Amino acid sequence: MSFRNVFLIGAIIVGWSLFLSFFAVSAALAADTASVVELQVHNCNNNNICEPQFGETYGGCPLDCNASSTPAPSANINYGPAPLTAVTSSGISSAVLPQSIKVINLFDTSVLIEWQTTGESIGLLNWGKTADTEKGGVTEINYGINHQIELDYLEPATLYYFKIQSTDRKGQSSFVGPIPFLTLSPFQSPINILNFSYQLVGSSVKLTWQYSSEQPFRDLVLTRSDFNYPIDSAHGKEIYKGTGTSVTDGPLQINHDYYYAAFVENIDGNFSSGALLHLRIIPALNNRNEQVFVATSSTSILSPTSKNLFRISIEQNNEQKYFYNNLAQVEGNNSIKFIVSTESLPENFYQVILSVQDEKDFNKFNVYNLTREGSNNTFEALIPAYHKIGLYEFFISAVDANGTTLIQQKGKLQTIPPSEDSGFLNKLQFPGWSWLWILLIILLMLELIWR
Amino acid sequence: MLKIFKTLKLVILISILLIPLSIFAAVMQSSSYKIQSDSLNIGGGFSTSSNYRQESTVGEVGTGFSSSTNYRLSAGYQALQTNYISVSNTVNISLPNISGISGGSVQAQSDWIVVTDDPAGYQLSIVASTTPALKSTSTSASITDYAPAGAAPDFLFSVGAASSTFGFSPHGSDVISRYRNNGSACNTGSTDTTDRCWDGMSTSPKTIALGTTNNQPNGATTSVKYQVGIGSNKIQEAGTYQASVTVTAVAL
Repeated sequence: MSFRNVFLIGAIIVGWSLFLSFFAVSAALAADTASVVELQVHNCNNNNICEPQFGETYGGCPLDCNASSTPAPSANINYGPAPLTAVTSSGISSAVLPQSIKVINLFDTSVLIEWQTTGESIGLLNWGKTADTEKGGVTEINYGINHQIELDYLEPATLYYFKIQSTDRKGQSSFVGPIPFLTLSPFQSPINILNFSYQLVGSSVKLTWQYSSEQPFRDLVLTRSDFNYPIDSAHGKEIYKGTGTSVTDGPLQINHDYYYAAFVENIDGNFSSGALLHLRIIPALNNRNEQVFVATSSTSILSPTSKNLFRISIEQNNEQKYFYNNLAQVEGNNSIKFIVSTESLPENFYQVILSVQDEKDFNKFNVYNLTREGSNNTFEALIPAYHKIGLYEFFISAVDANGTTLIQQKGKLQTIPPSEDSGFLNKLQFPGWSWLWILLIILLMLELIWR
Repeated sequence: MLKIFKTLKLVILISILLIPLSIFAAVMQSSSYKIQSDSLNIGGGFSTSSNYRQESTVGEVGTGFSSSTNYRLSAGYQALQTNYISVSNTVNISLPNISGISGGSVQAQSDWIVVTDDPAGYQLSIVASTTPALKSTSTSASITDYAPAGAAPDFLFSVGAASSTFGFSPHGSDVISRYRNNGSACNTGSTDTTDRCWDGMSTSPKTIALGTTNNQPNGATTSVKYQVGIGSNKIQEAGTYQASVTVTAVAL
């Protein structure tokens, strides 16, 4: 064999090996995987169902969100002013998506947060005083579809945020948050009075009111100021203290403003935030063109100045109800706590006032003071229950010492039946004679069985 | 012509003679050490420079890579030295639903585990199939890719009141310095924080993680959070939006 042949053989072998080796190396050096990220965007769908969680509002989706349309299913999802996550019960979402998030068992230093997932997952809840949820995280131990995490050692009357990360066994995660909640103040303030009304009697005025039946109380303290609403029972002139339901104040001056505030004191000595009434007696003409005097009461209602200046939330039975675009669903027959917080207030700010539509007279607004809680810019008022199912408008106003409205924000309350199940039979309303039919059917069935 | 035929015959003969040798090229081991692979060849060896080291073999036969439906074959000494790399598969991700009227922001996360025996490590990159990445499946509507304010990713996700945007934020032990922060800014510092350092998708691959050693068998996990933000004054068309995202792990 010649040298040339050996060289040729070697060259062929080496070349072929290198050729195959090239493919071997290049085929194993990289790996990739592709996935699709999907998002559902919802807005007004004109299906005659008001779905605030999809952003439907009275202004933006009038066909769906009018007073007669079907309310959306109750869902405790925050839609406050901060950038928040919207969650729906739609089946499109991932099985690990936290749904039906509820802030329950809310107290001054602890809270229980509940949510559900359609598939088994494990939850990590991060929380903190800012939307960054910087305080820490709590994780569940077991996989499941019903989730609960309790946070303890919180500060009273403080705004917190939480985020939920839900992860399945394959490591796929879904997030919700940040969602805010406000811890309660260390003590429970009493419920304000209801139907705080007036009637002019000569040159005096008769003030009347009713007490909430939900809790006992010790006294009612009624004060009056000539300049602005008293912000607590120590402000203004005390004109009544007792357990009655009316008082006559007077004589009053013509064309003079009178500001009344009624504070309920409970057995622990805590006062309610105050129910408010503003009166002015003015001359007027009666049907016979004779001059008489009438009392007028004004509620300062303006166009909302900004929808994001106040963060408004509502509590009932230690459960926080959230607003969807300034609409909150509340249960009838339970007192309603309004909690208003804001980052900053105008320098000449004096007090925050709640004006809420009366359940019997839509032209009348019941006015309440909101008590400042702690050093935060957080204000609270506990108002009596609304028993009538309906939609009630309210305004939150920051006013100066002269009663001039500085900021005003509008919202709506939608009352729904209480969540407690009163039992199937109680829901059935049989007319008296229908029991005869039921008895007859039972007798027929017995007859058939006997045969 | 006769010469060429003779040469071919000789090649075939030598190849046949060498096959049994390959079979008997058994892997050796002692109580302490095991030789993973060896080579019967006619040349080669190590050569080095100040930056590189090269190992070559000459004269092996039946080498290279071949595969069937169920198996892959790496034959020959050098083919056996080929590094392995894998990246875990991901299922499709559904972001939580969002209102196109009132806006807000939603997040979801994907995790990838890269396993490699490459002593030099790996590089993980992410790429979108379209610009912008997140597009309506039924109309021409889309959500713009996140655009950081500067060259570095934004420390915090932000969206203008009249706009909507889709961004991502990677985190994990191997995330590159671009996505690390010093507590207030990205591409500086060494901290890896979730929900920080937001970047936009692109049809050009963006490196998100870099491993510098082999990590088998457990691998290294890199997570990517996706976030969509819709400003309060933006009306985003309703419907289903999808982004097709591919991550690629390359052994170094």
